Amino acid sequence: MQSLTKLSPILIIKKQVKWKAKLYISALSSLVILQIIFTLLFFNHGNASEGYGRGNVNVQFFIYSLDVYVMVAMLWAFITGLLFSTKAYRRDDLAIISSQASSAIATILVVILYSMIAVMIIAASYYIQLIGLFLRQKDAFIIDQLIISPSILLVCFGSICLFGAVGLLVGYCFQGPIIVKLATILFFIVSLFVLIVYPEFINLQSFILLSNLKISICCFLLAILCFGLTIWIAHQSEVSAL
Amino acid sequence: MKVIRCEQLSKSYGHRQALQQVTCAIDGQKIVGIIGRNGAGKSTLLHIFSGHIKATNGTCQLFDQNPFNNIRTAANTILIDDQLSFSNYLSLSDILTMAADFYPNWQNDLAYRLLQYAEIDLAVKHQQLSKGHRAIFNVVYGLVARCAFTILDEPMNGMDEAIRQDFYRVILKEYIAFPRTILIASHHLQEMETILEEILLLHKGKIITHATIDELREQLISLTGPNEEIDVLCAYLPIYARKTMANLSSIIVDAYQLKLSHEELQARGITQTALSVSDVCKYLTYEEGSDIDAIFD
Repeated sequence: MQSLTKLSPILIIKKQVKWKAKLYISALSSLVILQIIFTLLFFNHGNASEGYGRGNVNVQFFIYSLDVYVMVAMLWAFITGLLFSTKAYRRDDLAIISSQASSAIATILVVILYSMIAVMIIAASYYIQLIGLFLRQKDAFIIDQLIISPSILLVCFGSICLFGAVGLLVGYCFQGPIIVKLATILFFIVSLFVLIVYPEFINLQSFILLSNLKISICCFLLAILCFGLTIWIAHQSEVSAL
Repeated sequence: MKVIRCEQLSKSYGHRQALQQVTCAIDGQKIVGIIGRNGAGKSTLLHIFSGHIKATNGTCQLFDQNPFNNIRTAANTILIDDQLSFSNYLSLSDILTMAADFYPNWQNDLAYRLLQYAEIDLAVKHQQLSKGHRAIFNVVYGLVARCAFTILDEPMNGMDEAIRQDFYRVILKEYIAFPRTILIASHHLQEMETILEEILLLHKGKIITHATIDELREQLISLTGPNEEIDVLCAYLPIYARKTMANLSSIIVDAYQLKLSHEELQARGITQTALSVSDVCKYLTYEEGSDIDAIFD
């Protein structure tokens, strides 16, 4: 009897992450394009504006912040997560040594890696915008915070990661066993009902008022929960159900 | 250690039973043909072996482990079917590099030589290949990975006859170079019976027989003789098929249940003819009323 190949699951996942990160790189280029589009859209008037007028004096503030970039990246992460869970991506994993769970773990690690890179892209977009405004020098220019605080970057990373995790989980739910699909549909119906009938039930005000560190911890915990559920569903899934 | 051991394996999709109470075992390194008509359950069985789907009932053990979503058995298994797909961003050359990274026994030189022989351009993408070239690439991919358990599901679909013959030789040579358990599901039994050691015949989700090629070849025989003599035999023998032309009838019967010697048959004017393995499989899965001519009658 020939000897069997004994590869450690960690080694296989490492290799999968390496190849997936290379192959899915177009997802990152789409984020860069999105950020460029939004930078150009908001270049003249900022993300928000505020104005005062008295007599002949008119003062108008254009506020440039990270918010739009983060929101775009969150939406991008959700769609990317959803795409990574589609049949086309998951079928490709069958051509190499993989199981449904190992593929899901590798995809999760790629989502985390891409979320980190997305934070760098956001920061870069923000600074490029600042340089552009500085070079234009048309108006008075006030920089509130030149260096983005690490806690803000952590919130950005956590929220992008969370949206990527939710996208991935939703995708896996709809590609998973029938019982999971039904549970997901039921969850969406109940959520929609609660949202319409009891809108006050969804109150994020107290959450937003938390410190950056607490918000990022909440985001990470929720992302871990989503990732855990994704791996569990993947482990129950059959290829024929893809 | 048995390579595969299945007990009372069943798989259903809703109300449709794809596999029913399948019990079988394959041990050692050999080339086994998984034969059956369309919808017999061949692909379902192979997907259970590869760990892609879970049996509804019963157990399946591959290298003494449950293969479903099992990374350890996956490291020793490769399934090649027409659904095999690769990322759009990879050329064939990139695919070979990637596979070499994953499969420890990967034979890159051999892959290049075989693909060069088949005149496949390595700069193109898998999706851009013609049906025949894609089938060739897939078979090469499955063989050079040199996994202990190699599953080829209809590997020759789309290939022309000449290249099919070549690739049966490739399978055999690769098997000799690196003995392993190879399962081949195919409808081209006549073409590949020379490379098979055993056959697992499936029909309507059940195993009809699991035997060596020689045992299977001897299982059924064709008897041709006068109608009245054949009628006598029909009275006590189970008949797999019967054709009558004028005063002569031809029947297919189980060779092991025929109690008459060759001389006794000759004395009754009955001639005995051996069947090809392909014909044996056809008759073992033959059903009353499945004659296409009957539709036009």
